[in-house]
Amino acid sequence: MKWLRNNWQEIPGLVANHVTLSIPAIVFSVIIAVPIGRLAHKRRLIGGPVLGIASLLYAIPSLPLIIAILVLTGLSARSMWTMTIALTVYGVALLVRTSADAFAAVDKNVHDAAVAMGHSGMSVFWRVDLPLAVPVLVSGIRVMTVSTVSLVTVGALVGQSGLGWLLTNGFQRGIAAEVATGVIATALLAVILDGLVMVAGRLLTPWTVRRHRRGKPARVTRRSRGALA
Amino acid sequence: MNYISAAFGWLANSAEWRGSTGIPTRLAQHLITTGIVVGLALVISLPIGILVGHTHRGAGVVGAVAGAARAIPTLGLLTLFGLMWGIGLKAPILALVILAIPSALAGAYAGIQAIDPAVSDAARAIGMSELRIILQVEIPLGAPVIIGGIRAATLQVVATATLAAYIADNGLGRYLFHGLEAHNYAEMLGGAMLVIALALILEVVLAAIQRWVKLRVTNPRSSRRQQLHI
Amino acid sequence: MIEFQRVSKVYDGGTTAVADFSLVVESHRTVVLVGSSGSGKTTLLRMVNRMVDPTSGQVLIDGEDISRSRAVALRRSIGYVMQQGGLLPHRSVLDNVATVPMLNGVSRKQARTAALGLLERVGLSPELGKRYPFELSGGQQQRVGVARALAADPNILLMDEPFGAVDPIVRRELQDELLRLQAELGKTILFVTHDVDEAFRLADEVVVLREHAVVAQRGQASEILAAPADDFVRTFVGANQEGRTLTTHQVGGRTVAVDQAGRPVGILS
Repeated sequence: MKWLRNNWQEIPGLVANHVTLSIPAIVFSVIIAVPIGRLAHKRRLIGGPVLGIASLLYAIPSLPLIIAILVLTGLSARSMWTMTIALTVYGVALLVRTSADAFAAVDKNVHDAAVAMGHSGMSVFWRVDLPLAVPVLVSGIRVMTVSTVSLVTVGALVGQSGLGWLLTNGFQRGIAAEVATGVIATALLAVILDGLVMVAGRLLTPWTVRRHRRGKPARVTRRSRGALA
Repeated sequence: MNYISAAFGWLANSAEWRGSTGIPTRLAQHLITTGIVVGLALVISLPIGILVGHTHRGAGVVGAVAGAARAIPTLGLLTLFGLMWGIGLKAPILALVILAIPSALAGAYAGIQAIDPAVSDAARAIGMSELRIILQVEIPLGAPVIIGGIRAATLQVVATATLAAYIADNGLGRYLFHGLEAHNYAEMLGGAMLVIALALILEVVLAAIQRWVKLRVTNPRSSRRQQLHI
Repeated sequence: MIEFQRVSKVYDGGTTAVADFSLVVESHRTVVLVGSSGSGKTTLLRMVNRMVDPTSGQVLIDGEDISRSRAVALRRSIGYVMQQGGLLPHRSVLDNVATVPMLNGVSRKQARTAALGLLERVGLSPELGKRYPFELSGGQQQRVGVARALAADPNILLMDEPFGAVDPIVRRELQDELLRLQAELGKTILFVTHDVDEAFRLADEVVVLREHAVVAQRGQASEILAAPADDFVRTFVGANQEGRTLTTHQVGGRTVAVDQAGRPVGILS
């Protein structure tokens, strides 16, 4: 606690750097993964291999990937892009499957009804399929956000700023309080960003919010059916 | 590009394949650590996950544990434990076990609770004991998802064991950290390639096992026929 | 007027849904295609708004080959009611009804005002307009589905088992409602069902389909009941079931209709 009292001024800057590293990767991951997921859902033949590649990418350990990106792209170890590329690879790998699931979860009947009413292809996507995929997408984006915030700390090992610096610096100097501060601050940041994504999801899908509020039985999912029994 | 050839040069150097810091030793350390950690994590998480899935009690706790664990930075847990227990294997093994539990736990829980309750009820109705229902009905039916959890846990441990080299003289991660300190790009990239290859091989093997088990569960006859042909 | 001219449909997998089907649906009439699953009746319906394009043959609307029209524009000019409503779950009831007019360029305000009138027309309180579809009962959802199909004031209404998912009492109410609406509006309705009773209740003309949309018999309900073309139709419409063959008895000066099991089912007036 003494360490925190003397060094708390450092933390806002580290948080800012941490956020600066996290947000672009999260945004890029969504922009890249959602169309791929939609494609994987629509074209089963492409879908299988795409999802396979995604799970392979996700299996690559973080530090080796960062090092490989560093060496192969020739980017500086301090460059934000090194981390952004690595984090986006993981984000996309994590989100592609959820995106495919999200579009698969859209009721075929509703999709057909929209087509029958005369929505054009793009219009069906933007006004029906995408909005209806949002609840599942948001659950995937939440998982991805938390994992991204946590992964940013690994960047400290190659000299990236952020809350990870508290972990490496604290370890090298033998200050447990500094490391603990880093762990807690990172977890808190993850929880806060997770909450923001959740709130954004609620705002985007008012029809599901009212369902929660009124406590009406929503469609029975497999999970809830199991829990009730 | 010359970094890649340098990395292959490092990998091909016979000196790197000998002694207590040689690739075979580091690989063995990496695998043994992974094996111990996954074993410990499974001993703890499988019974709990299966029980929660079977009774449908404590599902919220499992979800919360799995969610919260994702928010904890792995490097943070490793360095914190490293400071608490010093250099040695105790700190990384404990940290890695803690990190592996949520995936395995969530898999075991999800595998069991996703089973149609009518199936377990039917088993109960024909007079199976609860233990028998778990062992002979629920675990076999939930096996693909349970193994999915084990697969996720194993991959996470293999990956994080690389980071554990930051606090212990152990595993393939040493090449990465040594390379970083010495600005030895060949060693850094060579080590990275080793770890990536190991992780990808494990992923492919575990995915194949999971697919095979899934096939057995969803279509028992086809796999039996395959066995007969072998 | 809708004309099917020797249409066929073979799906990619090689399954034949429709083999050489021809039919003329005169304007302002209700034609019901009735058949069991696999009879290709939904495929036929979907050919009219180009959700399915025939492998061969043509579909004409008022003499025009629809394969030359833009699919999207065509669909906006045809009402479509499907099983389970197919309502957009993320839009309010009112917005669901207002969707097609808005796609056609009507202002939101105007479309909503018109939608309120349509809700009343199909027997729903305008207050329901603010709700989301999941907050309605199954029968109410189907009424919204009908209102939505009527919103662009189409000449043609396609109805794909629209009342299949509601319980028998509500189904009966909805059928009556449709008959009332049709008496007022005089649309050209092509209706698909597997329920013979529903077909007989609603249709000006019934078309009984066997596999691959081969016409087993067509005509008025009474004609089909009186003279089933063959054993398939006889079995399908249940002409030889006890409920369909009635005899009469004189009881106290009145004529009582009795089924084959001897149960009285009604009085002839």
